[in-house]
Amino acid sequence: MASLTTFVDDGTAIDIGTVNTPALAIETLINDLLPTAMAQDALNDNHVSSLLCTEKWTTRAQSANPSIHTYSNKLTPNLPTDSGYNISTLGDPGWAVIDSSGSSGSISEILNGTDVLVGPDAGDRIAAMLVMGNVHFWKATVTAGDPGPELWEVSCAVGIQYRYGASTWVTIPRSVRFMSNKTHQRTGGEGAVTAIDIPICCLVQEADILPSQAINGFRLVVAWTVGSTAHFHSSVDVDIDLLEHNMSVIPLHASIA
Amino acid sequence: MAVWFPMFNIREGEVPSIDELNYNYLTITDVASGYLNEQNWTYNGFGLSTDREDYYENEIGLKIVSNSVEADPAYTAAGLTPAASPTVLTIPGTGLWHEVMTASIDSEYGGQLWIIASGALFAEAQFGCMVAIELNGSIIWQDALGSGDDNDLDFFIWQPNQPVHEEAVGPQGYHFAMALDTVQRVTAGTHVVKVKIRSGRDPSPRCAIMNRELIVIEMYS
Repeated sequence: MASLTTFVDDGTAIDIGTVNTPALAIETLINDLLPTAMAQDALNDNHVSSLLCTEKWTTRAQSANPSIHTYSNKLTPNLPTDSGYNISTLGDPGWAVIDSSGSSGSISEILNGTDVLVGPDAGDRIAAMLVMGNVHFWKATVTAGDPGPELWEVSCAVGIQYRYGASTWVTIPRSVRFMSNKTHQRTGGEGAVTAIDIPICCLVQEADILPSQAINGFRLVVAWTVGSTAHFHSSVDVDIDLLEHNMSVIPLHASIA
Repeated sequence: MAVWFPMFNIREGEVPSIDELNYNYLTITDVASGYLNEQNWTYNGFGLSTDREDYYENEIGLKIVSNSVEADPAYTAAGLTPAASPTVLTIPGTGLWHEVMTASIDSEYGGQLWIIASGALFAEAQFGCMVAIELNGSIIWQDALGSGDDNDLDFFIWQPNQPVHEEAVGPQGYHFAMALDTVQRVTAGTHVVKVKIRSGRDPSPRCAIMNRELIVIEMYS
């Protein structure tokens, strides 16, 4: 609580001292303001959000081009089954970067290329990065091989990667999501359009990042996978078609309980 | 509303009023005792673009709790510890809510919670599921995900599956992704947040969740 102890007294001649003494006390007060000096809701509700969505590391991007883009990359081994999945050894060609096919609004490097140290005690005081992505899955099409009577073993996989150093990208395993296509089709058949979103929300924390590494980018990646049950008859090649997609990164200056 | 200073102007040639002088001082101290607002700071005082974090750093009023499960049993980036106890959680086909994630947050002053849940699900054909956030024991229906099942209108489930030989358009459903979020105002105290899934129509587990993450961000206001 701020208070004054020296006033201009009635009956006392006004001179430099009587004017300056309380003024100097106010100067001291202003220079030592506590957080409680601020009115409740003064900044949060009016001008400054609790989420610092305008600082330099808050970035967002989206595909502005509604064209469908096709990706043929495959994860091997892949195996999203009811007991989990495995992307421990990525085969050739592995993940494809979404938007690398030339769509406008590239979102492959969304952190403006500046290094960020993530962690409650790290220099940038960013406890975590909230990464939200959404990919509009259009359909999966078998381009070679016979998928058998059921295509649900074929899945589109979408995940988030972060970059450190100049060009090292690391997949965040828990960010991986899968989407199966409904279509029953044979090679060359016209795939039915599924048209559904694949949303991902991921809180990237210090434990997700290689020790002492500053990260400087996020991107969405896509590939296709196949299951391993008896329903799946033979090896196939698949194209994954995606439509719009977007991604936002919000650094959180926060305490982690 | 904060006060623009000074309240009284002291003009040249006038005998200053002692009361006005003291009011000029007192209004500053009164407002600085808990009534300062955005009008008292200089334009761009907190930085509006590149340097805001220099001012805020730890002072921003956010608190986060999170809980996540990694279902890839093998993958880890070089230098990182593999995820502990990776699990795929199957959902009993009872039609009852089944807890898949939980987090507890202590709110010192109360405020708003931004609750975000995300995960990779799968459900077998014709056996869908419904996903919702629960706050302090109450399902938040407004933000639940699920769609009607024509075969059981009493039980609204997210049924992304259709019989596999049908050519109807729709997600085939063995694998799909979900993300929920809600903002809820809470009082001071401890609040328990859960993500729940229910699936029905068959006593056998027909639905499961793999990777999953629950994020609770407390925003003071």
